[in-house]
Amino acid sequence: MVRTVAALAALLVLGATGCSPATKQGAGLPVIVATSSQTADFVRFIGGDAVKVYSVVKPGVDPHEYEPTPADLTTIRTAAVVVTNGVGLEPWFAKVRAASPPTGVVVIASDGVVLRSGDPHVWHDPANAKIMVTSIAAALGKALPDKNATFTANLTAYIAQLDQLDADITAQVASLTNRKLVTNHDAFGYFIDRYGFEFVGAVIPSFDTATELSTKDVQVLVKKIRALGVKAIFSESSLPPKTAQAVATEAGVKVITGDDALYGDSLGPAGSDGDTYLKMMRHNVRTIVTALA
Amino acid sequence: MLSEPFMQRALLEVLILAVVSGCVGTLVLVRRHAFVADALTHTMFPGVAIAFFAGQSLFVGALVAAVVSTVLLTLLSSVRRVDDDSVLALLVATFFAAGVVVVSRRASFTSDLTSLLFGHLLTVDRSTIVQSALVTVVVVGVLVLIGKELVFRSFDPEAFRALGYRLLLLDAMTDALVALVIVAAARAIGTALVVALLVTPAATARLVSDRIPIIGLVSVGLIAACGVAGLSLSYVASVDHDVRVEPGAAITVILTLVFGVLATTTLLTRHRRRIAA
Amino acid sequence: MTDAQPLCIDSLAVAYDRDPVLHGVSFDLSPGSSLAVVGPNGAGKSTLLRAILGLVPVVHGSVSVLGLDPVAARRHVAYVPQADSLDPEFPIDAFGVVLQGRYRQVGWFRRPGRSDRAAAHAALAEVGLSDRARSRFGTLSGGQRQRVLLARAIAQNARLLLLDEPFNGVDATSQQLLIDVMGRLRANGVAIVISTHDLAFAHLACSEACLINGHMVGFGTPDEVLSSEHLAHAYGPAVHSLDNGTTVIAAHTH
Repeated sequence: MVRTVAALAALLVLGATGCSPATKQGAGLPVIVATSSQTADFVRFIGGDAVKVYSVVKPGVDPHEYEPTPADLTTIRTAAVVVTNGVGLEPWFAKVRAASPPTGVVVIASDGVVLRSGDPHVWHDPANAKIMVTSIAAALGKALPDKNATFTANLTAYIAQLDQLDADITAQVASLTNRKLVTNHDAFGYFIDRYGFEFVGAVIPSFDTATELSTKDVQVLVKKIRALGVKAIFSESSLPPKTAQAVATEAGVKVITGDDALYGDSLGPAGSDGDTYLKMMRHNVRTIVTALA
Repeated sequence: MLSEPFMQRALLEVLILAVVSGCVGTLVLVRRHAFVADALTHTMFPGVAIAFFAGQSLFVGALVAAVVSTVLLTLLSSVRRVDDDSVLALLVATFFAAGVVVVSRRASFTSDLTSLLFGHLLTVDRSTIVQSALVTVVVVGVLVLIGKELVFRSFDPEAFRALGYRLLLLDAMTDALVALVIVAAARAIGTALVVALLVTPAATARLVSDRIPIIGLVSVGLIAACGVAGLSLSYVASVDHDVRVEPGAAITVILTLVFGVLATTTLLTRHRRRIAA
Repeated sequence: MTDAQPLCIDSLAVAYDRDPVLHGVSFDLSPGSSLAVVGPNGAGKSTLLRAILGLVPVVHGSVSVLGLDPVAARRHVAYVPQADSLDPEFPIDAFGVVLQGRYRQVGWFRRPGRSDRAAAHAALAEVGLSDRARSRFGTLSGGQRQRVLLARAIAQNARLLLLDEPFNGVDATSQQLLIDVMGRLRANGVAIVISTHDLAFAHLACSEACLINGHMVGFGTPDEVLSSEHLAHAYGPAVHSLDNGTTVIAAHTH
């Protein structure tokens, strides 16, 4: 009996130590880690074919709470550059950084952006996105100087696209008279500020995703909605729409959820209408304008 | 795999926990105390939660919670009534709910709860390892010092009491030791999975040996081996196959599988012997 | 210590929250005597044993063990429980059980030493189980387990032994062995108190008997105390007289 146990134990240990997994460095390209889907998209554009992008928090997954995998920890340590959003979007990054200290450069993409009291969702204003991609390009250029020319070229091209985006949005929202916005949570502050919308209230009253509204809060919000004549409530892609539905039914307004939902915390999954930053922004604007027209 | 600093730290933590959980798990087995051990993981939860948010080190809060829960539970089980278990269950549920209330006042509710319940073995830091090691030294020290009295009490409480030993004191000690293990393991593997470490290895070791010191050693060895296996599985699954396997859960499942295999083998052997006889 | 009376009980009454469970118990035991405590279930036999151990609230009278207060005398008193009351699956061997008898001597925080282990081996030999020292306690027969528990009391060097129904589920060989060992202990001045239903044993192996039914019905030699009238008084309808004149008590399930 004891021998059987010893044999099993030996097998387990052997099996464990025997496995030496191949390191995934993919055809020798330098790896750039991006902690959220938006930053990943930016890095993809700026880095182009010169780099391999490793996205930690996948699209559609809540970036506020995340438990890292061994692959995440290993890649973060060995990557050439690690790009984070900053402003507390990724509270999990601090302990990850301590557990697996990056040997490469760590960049906070939102450095230089004018912040709205601790709101991390800076990318919803294309002007901020410009600042972010510029920081990313600078960091990539410093880490991989021989590819600097590529990065600079990509940056210029992307900034042109961002300028175009900004102009398009401004034109589209110009015709709106009712600019009152109720969204699933307060992730669109920068967008609202830039394009002159009015924020009536979020269904979830904080920037974080998990707080539930108390009955009193719901009643307060419903009163506000009714008083101010809001036309629609928007629900986000990475959150359950049930809460938004509840408020809308109470206040008697349209609830935009599902495929028409707004992308607040992250991009949409590959193949969806919001799988790149530019597509995501255009989708959000289209949805809002249609509902409020 | 072992060249990664986070894996080294996780492995070290697992090995330390193996020692303390294996030893106390043996005591839990011998005292037939598995339910109480489970109860303690729930009653300690609010104290742990409060400490987490008050900004104190998790360790201090968990220690306080351990003392309070221990006293309450020991007092409660010493009041021998018919509805013993239901009162205990009520206490467990109340404490746990209180803990959830405490946690839910915070905005980052879900992630904090997840960490408390399931730990984060992969991001375990130096202070956690040191705390675990300290607790291990203290617990093993106590077991060495009063081990013989603990076993005597478990085996024959009547004769034990007749000799003038205080049952209540020793029972409080046992509960305190279990609580300390929960404190040590909570950060790394979470309160929900600690019970697995306390109950399964000793039960498996019992299948293999009749002697308490051997049961203890086998328990420790089992946790160490399954810990290594679970960590490795988590690593290989993630790095090679992009499959997420939470290490704490992997360790628990492997421990249970080993128990299952051994239990079945034992059953079959006994059956064959009976037929042959 | 050896000249002090092993047991002196005077007008003892025990009550839990005003509920008197035992009263009117008075007797003395000399060194080397063995006392059978007889009575129906719930009559107070266990209470009497507990009073001798100082574990119950005494509301009247006194108990003196070896000239001391029961609490102070504890390390010289050995309580031997019924073997059946112990978990047969417990991972401990016969030697380990007997060694427990030395723990009070060894004290907290220390390990049993060579003399302790020698005493344990000697005690096991005394009950004829040296060859089973390493067997798990639960694998032994009922009689063997009871012998091991008696060996534990011997290892303790107790001057007063309290045995709780020692012959339940015990085979004839072990019974005889137990009686023999008890005889040798008595010859060394050890006093033994045995709580039992076995009247034949009481007559055969005990110097005194005490009949209890909530109070002390009688104390004296087994012949005096275990008469039919006394027994009828204590046991009521469970007492029967066989044709050959023997009095028996109807068996009960525990």
